[in-house]
Amino acid sequence: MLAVGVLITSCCTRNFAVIELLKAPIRHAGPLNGSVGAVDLPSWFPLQDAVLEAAGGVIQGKLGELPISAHKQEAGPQTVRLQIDLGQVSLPAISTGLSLTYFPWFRFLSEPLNFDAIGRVAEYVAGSFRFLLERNGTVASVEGDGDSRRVRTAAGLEIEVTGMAALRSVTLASGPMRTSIDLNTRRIEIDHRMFPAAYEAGAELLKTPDRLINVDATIDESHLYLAAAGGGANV
Amino acid sequence: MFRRAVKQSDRDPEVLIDSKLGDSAYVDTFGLEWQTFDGFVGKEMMSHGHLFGRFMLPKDFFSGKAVADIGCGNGRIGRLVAPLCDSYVGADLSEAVHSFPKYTQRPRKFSLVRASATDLPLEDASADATICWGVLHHVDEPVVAFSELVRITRRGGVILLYVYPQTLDVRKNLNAYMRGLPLQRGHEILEQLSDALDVWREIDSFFAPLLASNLALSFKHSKAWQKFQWYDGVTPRYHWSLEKRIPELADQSACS
Repeated sequence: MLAVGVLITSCCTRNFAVIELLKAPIRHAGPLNGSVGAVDLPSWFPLQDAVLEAAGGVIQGKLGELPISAHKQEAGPQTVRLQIDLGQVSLPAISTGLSLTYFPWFRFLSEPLNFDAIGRVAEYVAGSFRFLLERNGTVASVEGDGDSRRVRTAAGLEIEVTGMAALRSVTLASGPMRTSIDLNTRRIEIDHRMFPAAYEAGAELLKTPDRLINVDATIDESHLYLAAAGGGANV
Repeated sequence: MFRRAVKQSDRDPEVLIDSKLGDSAYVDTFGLEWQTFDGFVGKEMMSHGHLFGRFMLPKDFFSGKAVADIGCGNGRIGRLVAPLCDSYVGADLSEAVHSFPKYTQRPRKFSLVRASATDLPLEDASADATICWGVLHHVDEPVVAFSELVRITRRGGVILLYVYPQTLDVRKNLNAYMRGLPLQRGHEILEQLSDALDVWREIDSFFAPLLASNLALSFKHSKAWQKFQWYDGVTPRYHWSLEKRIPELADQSACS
């Protein structure tokens, strides 16, 4: 439901930033000289929720939760330079760089130790879904290779996550039922047997002359299809 | 005070029913919401700020005045004003009016009436101050309702009005999507939405507000209040964008 809400409101404003952020980790790296590092970041970058990694993983955690001092200064019209002092941390002698990475999916999976999502997004997100299922008492496994990973439960639910470099799609399947979200084309297919309320909302809307702004909505007996008009151009 | 017959409600003699009360089905959701949740308790200061704060009204502003509160719901604003004025009439199309609290101190004259904002049973120029708080954008014919506010307010009186700001226009798609659903289904969807957002809220202090902002839904301290506010904002059948039109309507009505 969150995906439907975000898609249709994003279409209304033609601002798809929320969807884009979910696709891939955003990483910015900088040099580490002695115990002081510096990274140039876009001014919107969420410092407190970004993961700092330095000295090959000796330091790794959300910046807002690490006992280190960091100072921000303007470095351009839309850029800030973050200076980080790691003087209080015992670093290996040869430590040359640090990075800050932001990805909204961080923390779903085995927090706070695993932030390794770059180049393996599908695996990371599949792991997140597995974690959510397990947390709710459903045993699940992750399998697959190449560009996709599948989360499977004993009850026959399968969640296929595609896109190792950047998340492309998530598909939920159970027997003949199938619901999918394509982040690239900004299109959602909702199976009425899986999400009856979400399907019914669209069905009721399409009985009226009202239409969603900048959304192509169609329906058949089994699915409601919602897609950004023109694939969400003019972002 | 009334220009046509009103009758006592069987349910509560303090509540009157307009003899011309028509179809009120579309406000059933509001009736249920306001009877299920009390949007006032624990939010006294916020409610006070909504009215007195926004208009910088002195504490004795309503003293000696005849007040009409159109779309009063369960008295979220009315219970602040009623004890301070000379007379108070709260009107609402929905059954929420039955939930106006008994503990609120009544002024010299006090009435609650189920009536439509587009055809009020109140006499012309019967109010010194007319309040219409967060209501017009949910009325089927807001221009007609506005003219009713003007009609019942005496010349030189004041209309205190709140309509959704244009920034909430981003809810248009969500509103259109939700409005055909029966109440139970609508609640179901908002429950899911609220729970999903709360998960993000737990893990990412940047992304969760971004999501909420994208959906034009704000987080509340209380889960029940959060869902209620969202439901109030997203599901109603009518969801007009009026912010720009109100000054124009006021000019046409020779209001200031």
